[in-house]
Amino acid sequence: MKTHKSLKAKEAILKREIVKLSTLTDLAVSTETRAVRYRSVADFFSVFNEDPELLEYFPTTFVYAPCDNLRKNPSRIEIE
Amino acid sequence: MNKIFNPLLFEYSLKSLKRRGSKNIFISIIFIILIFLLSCAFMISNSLKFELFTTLSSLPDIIVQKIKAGRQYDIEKDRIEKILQIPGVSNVIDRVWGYYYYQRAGVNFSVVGLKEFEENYKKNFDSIADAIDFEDFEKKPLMIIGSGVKKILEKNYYKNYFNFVKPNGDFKRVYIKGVFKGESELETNDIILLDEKIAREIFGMPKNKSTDLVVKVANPLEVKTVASKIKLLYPDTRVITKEDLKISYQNIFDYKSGIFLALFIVAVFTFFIIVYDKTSGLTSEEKREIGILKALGWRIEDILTQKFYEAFIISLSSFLIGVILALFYVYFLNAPLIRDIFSGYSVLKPSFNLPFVFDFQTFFLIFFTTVPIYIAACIIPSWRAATLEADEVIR
Repeated sequence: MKTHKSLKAKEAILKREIVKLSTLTDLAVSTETRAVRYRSVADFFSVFNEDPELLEYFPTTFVYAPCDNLRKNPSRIEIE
Repeated sequence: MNKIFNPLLFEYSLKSLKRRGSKNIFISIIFIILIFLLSCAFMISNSLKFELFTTLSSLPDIIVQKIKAGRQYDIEKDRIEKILQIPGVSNVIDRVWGYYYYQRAGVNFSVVGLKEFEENYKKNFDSIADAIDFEDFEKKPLMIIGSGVKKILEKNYYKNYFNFVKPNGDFKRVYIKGVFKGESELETNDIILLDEKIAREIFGMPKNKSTDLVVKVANPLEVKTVASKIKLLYPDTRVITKEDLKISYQNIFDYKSGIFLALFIVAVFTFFIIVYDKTSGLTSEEKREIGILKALGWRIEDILTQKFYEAFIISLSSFLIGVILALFYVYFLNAPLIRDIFSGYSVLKPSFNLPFVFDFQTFFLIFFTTVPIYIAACIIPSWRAATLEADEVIR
C-alpha cells in the first residue's frame, strides 16, 4: 500500500528555492532551543549548555529525538 | 439464506446495540478518542517528515563546523583554499548565520547573511517573497523576513525597518524589503535574510572568520570520501554530509521514547481495560439473552455471527469516525491544541499548514491492533456462553 502525499508542485519548488538560498536545515516549527530548531547541525553544547548534569527541560525535546550528529564530536574519547 | 452475510442477523445486531445504547455509545466514544489521538500523532509526524524530505535535495553536500569542547566556534576562512584543493570539490562557500536575540519580545531570530544580496534579490526574490514598497530603498540596507518575524516586529511597532543592536551597543537599521511567501512558513517563519556584510556587523564577526563552511562536491558518490578527507585535514571540525542530514530527518521522531511512547502506553492501557471488561464475562442479562436464543433454536454459529456483527459495527464505525475526525482536525483546523506539543514554548509559531500525507501502512497498523482484538474480546465470552445448554445459561 502506497502512502498518499500531496504538496502542490509550485509550493514544493518555492520551498526548495528558499532552502537552497538560505542553506539552513530543519523546520521552523519550534524555535525554543537551537538543539531543536537546527537539530541536524546542533552541537553538543546546545543540549547541555547550562550544566553538564542538567537534563534538558524544553518540552519539544520530549517530542523530537536528538540527532545522531551530536555524537560526531571531535573531542570525544572512544573507549574500546 | 446468504451464508457470507446475513442481513436479518445484521438487523438483529443493530437492534441489539440499540437496546444497550448508553454502554455501547460510551465504548464507541472511548474508542474514537483513542483512534483520534493516535491518528493525529501519526499524521502530524508524517507530514513534518514529508516537509523535511521535500527540501532535502536543496541542502548543501557537506557542512564543515569547527568544534571546540563540544561547542561550535567561528571557522577560519583560510581553510577554504585547502579544502578547494581536495579532488572532487567544486566549490566552498563560507556561511555567516546565527541567532539574534530580540530581548523585548524574548525571541530568537535566525539571521542569515547572503553574499551579493542585492544581485540575488533582483534575480530570484520575486518568486520567494512578497515585496514591500514603502519608500526609496536605494543604497539602504535591506532584509527579507519570515512571516513570524513580521508579526513580532509589528507587535513591537516596527513597520518598515528594524534596529539591530550590535555587540558594541550601536544600532544598525535595516529596512524590510520583503516577506517570505506564506506557503514557506514552516521553513522561514523565524528567518531574516540580509547581506553578509550586515550580518557580520550585527554579530561582530571578523572578516577572516565565518560561522561554518559549505562544500559542494561535483560527484554525489564522492561526498563521503571528500568528507573523510576534510576530517583528516582538520581534525577539530565536524563534517556533516547530506546523508547525515537525511538520517537525521528520518530519525526526527523516535516512536520508542518521548511523547509517542507516553501516548502509546496510555492508548494501549485504555484499550486493554475495555478489552478486559469484555473478556471478563458477560452480564447476566446477556447470558440470559443467549440462553433464550438457544432455546428458540439458534445455533452457536448464529449467535457468534450476531456478536461478531455487533463488535464489528462498533469497532469499525469508531475507527472510521476517529480517522475522519483526525483528518479534519489536522489538515483543516491545523491541529489547534496538539500543535503546541510540537512547537513547545516557542514565541514564533508557524500556522501549522501541513502537507497532506495519508500513510496506509500506519492506518492498517492501527486498524489491525485494535479492531480484531476488540472483536475477539466480544466473541470469546459469547462463545463460552453459547456452548452451554440453554437451561444452564438461563439459570
